Amino acid sequence: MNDRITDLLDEVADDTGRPVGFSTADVVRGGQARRRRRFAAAGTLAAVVTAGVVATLVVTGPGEAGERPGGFATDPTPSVAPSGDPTAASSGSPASPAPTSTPTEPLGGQDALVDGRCRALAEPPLGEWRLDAQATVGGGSTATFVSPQGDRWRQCDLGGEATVPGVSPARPLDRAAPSLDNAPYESAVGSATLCPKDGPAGCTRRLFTAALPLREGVASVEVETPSGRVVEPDPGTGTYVVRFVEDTDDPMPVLTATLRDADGTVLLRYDMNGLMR
Amino acid sequence: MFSSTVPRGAPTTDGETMRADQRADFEQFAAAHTRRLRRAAYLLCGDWQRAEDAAQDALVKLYVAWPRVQRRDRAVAYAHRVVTNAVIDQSRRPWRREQATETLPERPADVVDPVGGAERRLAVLAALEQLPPRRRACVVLRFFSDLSVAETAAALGINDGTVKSQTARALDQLRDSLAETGLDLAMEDHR
Repeated sequence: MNDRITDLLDEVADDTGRPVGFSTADVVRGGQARRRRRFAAAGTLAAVVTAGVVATLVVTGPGEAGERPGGFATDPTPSVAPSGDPTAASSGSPASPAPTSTPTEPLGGQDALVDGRCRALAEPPLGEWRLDAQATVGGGSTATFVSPQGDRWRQCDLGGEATVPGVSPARPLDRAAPSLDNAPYESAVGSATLCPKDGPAGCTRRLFTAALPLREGVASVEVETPSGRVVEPDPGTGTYVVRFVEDTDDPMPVLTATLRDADGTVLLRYDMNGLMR
Repeated sequence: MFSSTVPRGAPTTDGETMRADQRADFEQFAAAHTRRLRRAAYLLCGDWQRAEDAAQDALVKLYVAWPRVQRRDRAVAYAHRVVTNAVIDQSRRPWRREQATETLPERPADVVDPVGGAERRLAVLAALEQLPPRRRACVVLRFFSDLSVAETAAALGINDGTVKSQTARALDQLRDSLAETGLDLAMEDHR
């Protein structure tokens, strides 16, 4: 007698009449809970790594004559985007007004510092890729690099992160026009506590950061922070970086982003943390 | 980023972690595949309750990864991969390894009546249980879950050649085991 293994397995696993003991709704609830736990765990990890990275950057500052240490560690000075305009990413307490900063160092200095450090970390090397946008605030930097063809991008993290500082693999640069069904979500808005491990009780200082593709037709971006501040990241040619510090105990607050075209018309408003919730 | 990177997508419309249409797709997938996943898990562990736990765990993990998995059109292979890992994870837990029983497990007769379905099932299950876990997983994923060599390799974290060799050895071992009980296992078409 010949019995094909597929038939035998099918017969062995015959579950005729045996009802499934859980529902799809049970699965969905479990999945939502798991996602929330994962995010909370990431926030906890961020606290530990942030402290280590910040300490490292303080010790290994650039030390270049005439330049500040690049805003790493404790320097909350808003950064300068490659275009030369100050970024709107900022630090400060919730009560602080949205910063309208001006560069406090020669144009390009901060960019050069971030560019050099990211290139030193990148594997594979960045080569001809160019720095597109960066924000330095809250003890570190987030930067984006765009390929020479402008079709791919990589994200660089320097300090203030829960992962080892480094440069991400290349990703396609999605320039499709934004819509409710295709909002920019390349990376979640991450958050990490900036409170010292042995610091005062009740410390809720937290860093938020994200890097996203600049979609077609988008000329400006506003992000409303948990305290109601409006952060205005300065877009590069293909990406932009959101990075700010606030006092909040919510690692995943509603962060409403508003994308506008050159005429100021709102193209899209959405919660940047929507997928995480 | 220090948060987990999430796949690109649209904002939620229902205040949950997934768009409404994505959730509907997931629910449709779950409805269509839950039983199949549970059956695969049963072949991997030989215990319906464990199989159900593994299937549910796999679907929960699949829900979390659904937008990414769905985009890559790998949902079925991914789900079987997760269920396999869930069974293996279960077997590593002491409370799963040792289960007190009041009676000895049923064993197949020395020689099985080939037309006796219940006895044949017990014989095949016993033969499966004699396989090392990786070989058993190769057989189940290839011939029940219908995964390709490459998909099986990805699911088990081994290379294609290992899948082929482990599958061949598993079939040889099954053939020998079943021959002792009167069953003749035909050769399968190795895709």
